[in-house]
Amino acid sequence: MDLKLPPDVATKQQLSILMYEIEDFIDAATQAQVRSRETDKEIPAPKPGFMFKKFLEANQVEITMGNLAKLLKELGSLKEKAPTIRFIFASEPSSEILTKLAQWIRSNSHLPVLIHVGVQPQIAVGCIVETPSRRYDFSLRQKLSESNALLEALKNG
Amino acid sequence: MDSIWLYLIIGLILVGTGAFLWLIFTIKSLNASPKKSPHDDYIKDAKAEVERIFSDDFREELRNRGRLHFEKIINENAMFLKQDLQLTASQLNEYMQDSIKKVLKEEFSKYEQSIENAKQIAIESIEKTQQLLEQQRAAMEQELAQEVQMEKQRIIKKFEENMNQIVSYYLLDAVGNEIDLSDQLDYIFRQLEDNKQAIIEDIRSGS
Repeated sequence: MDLKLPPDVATKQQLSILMYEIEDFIDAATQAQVRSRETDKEIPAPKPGFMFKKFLEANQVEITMGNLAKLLKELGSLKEKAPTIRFIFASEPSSEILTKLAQWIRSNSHLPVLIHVGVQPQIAVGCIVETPSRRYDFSLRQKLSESNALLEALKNG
Repeated sequence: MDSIWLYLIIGLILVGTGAFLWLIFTIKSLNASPKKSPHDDYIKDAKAEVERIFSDDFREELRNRGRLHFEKIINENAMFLKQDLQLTASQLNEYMQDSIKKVLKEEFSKYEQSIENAKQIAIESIEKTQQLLEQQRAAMEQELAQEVQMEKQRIIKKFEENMNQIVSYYLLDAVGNEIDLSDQLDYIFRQLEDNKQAIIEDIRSGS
């Protein structure tokens, strides 16, 4: 299965939520089937959760029990093995920001990269990006330390 | 002088006694002699005269006089001796006083000198200690000034090194929640774009 993670599933936590939603969907669908057989009435199919819906929009997956079970297994594997990138902000980012970041990273790397979020209020403005091998400081603190001219000007008033 | 008289009187007494004894022996020898000479009467008379002159009263008187004179001489000599002793005692007293004064004066002057020397040594020692303290104070003052200067430099350096943090804190405090992350996104994406190649390579090499 060639899965494509939607940008809304940006972090591991969101991926876990997706998996929970799929599990819930499977449970609900199973219960609906059982009830339908028992009552001989057509029970409407359960509605997928937000993340699951976005996932389904991004991927052309046939919703069958077999497929969903396989999907869960693959998503579990992806959760363990997917490359991660850490973003450290001055405050907790919203999900929209994470979505945009995930979109940018996955569109440029073509990999199902997951984002790990950290908070450091000292950063004030900007962020710090940590890849598996390097650290990129895009914070205002770093900019100020690089800008000696600005510091000299401040010192000299 | 007085002793001469004493000796003279004693001599006279001895002479008189000797003469008397000679007369007695002579008379005895004349009495013992069977011959009666014509001088025997004279001798007998002389003896009787001597007996008469040197009677017991006379001898007693002579003895008393001699005794009185002897006592007088003894008293006079005792008085002279007493005066001499008194004079000697007072002279000795004076001499001892002078000697003691002299010795005491010498000792006191030595003591005064030694005190003066000790005082001088103490003053010199205090002056030396004062000089040493002054030197140490100057050295410590210099060292302290250096330390203060170094500390000042260190604080300024630390302040300069942490200026960016201070500015960041100020900005954070001043701006606070005014700058939302969404407002920073453009800046963040610009930075990501500038370092895109490196970031993507890192992600790919880490995966």
